Amino acid sequence: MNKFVVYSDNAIEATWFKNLHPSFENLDSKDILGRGRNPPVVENLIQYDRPDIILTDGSKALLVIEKTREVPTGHNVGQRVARLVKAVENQIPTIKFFPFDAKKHGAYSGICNLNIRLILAFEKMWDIHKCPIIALNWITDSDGELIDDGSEDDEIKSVIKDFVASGFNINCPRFTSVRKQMDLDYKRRLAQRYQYGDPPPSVTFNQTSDFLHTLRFDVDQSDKSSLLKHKESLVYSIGMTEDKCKRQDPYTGTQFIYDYAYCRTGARPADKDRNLILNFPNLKKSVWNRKNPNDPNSKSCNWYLVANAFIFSDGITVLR
Amino acid sequence: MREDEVYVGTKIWFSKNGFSPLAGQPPNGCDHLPTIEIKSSTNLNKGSKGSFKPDLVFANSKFLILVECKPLDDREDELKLLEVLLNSDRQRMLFEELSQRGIFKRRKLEDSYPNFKSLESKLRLCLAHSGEPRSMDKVVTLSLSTIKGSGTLTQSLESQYKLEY
Repeated sequence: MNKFVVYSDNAIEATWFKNLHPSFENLDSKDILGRGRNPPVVENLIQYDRPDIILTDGSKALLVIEKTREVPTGHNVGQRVARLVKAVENQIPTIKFFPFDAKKHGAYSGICNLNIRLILAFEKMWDIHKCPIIALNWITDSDGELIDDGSEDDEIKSVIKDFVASGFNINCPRFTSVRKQMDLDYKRRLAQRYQYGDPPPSVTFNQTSDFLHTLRFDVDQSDKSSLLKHKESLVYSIGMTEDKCKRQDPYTGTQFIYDYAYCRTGARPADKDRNLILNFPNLKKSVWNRKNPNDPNSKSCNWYLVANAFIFSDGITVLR
Repeated sequence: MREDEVYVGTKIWFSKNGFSPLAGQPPNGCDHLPTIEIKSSTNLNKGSKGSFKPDLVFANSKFLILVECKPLDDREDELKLLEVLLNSDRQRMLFEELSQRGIFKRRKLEDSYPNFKSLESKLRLCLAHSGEPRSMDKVVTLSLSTIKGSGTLTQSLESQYKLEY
């Protein structure tokens, strides 16, 4: 495996990854550097954000992994999603390893549960891009504490073992069996919390023409025509204020979840059966343009990746 | 060495020498260890003001070691560690954090640390880095030469704070 290289954000995650399969033990490891300083195979995968692990074979990426101790619950579900989307768009099998249910410590301690809209979005991503994206559970003990004796890695090791044995085949049957398990888990959790079958209160489905009538400013005919191509629009309202609007997390990741779960029909962002509209009721368009430009050298460009339009308190920007 | 490399090398050195990792706060990224927070005795409510999250915590039946990792020797880290050693309230917070999270139990160390008093005499402090060691009264130094855990330990000047392994 001498030609294989693991790219990672730091030595801690690289060391963990090398322990996941006997043949990874002596892999070369390299840091993921800042944008513009990596080989093209890595540069392509960090366009939206930086994943924890990228396994490469020469100029080809074989696997992307994201590992976190955090349960993707509530609105935090969107964190880290953009980096995974980029991998799947590039047909790179992708694993997100995280606890599905775990104890949160601090003043409001308690068990946090996975927001299953993430699983729904993963399923749609897989379906659309024909590429595995799987969620693997970081197991916990009976108190909800994360297991950390090494056995927490048993499942991911087993999946990687099968993936390596398949010759890094994107159609490795193990991925399909994990997909079935994810589907069962989604249905079981949905039965327990049926409200997760619908979007959260910050998201509404609207007739596009009705929604355009509610706007308190004029909209160009060409912009109206663009949006009216879709009869329905999903409107995701984001309550950022002007003094705190220069940010992305978790919103830009969450937009991907809503796009894939409720809008997308194909691989291109334009392939949708309803518009994805990001609504910023507390922001003026000029402030937005100043603080979140579509600059490819900044993460603020992630705002422009999939939405059809932005709505501000005083105007609209139609993107596609 | 970078701080993340010192972190990895320190984990390996202590594990090789018979200590179990209990907790960790990696400089970035994600580790398998839980992060523990030793609250300030003047701020027990919500928020982290005055709290201390040790980079690494190890233990065996004889010692519980708080470790701070840096690329090079850092006097501020020494002061952070000493504040725990010289403040019994902070030690109590440390014990409660480890106990409440079931960490002693998971590492099969609950018999060695049944109560706060049992921790007091076993507490040791360590600065881990890849620079030249500095002799300190109450703190030991782990000088690492590789990420794979090659390194040497410089004992504290005061014998009651030495680390036997």
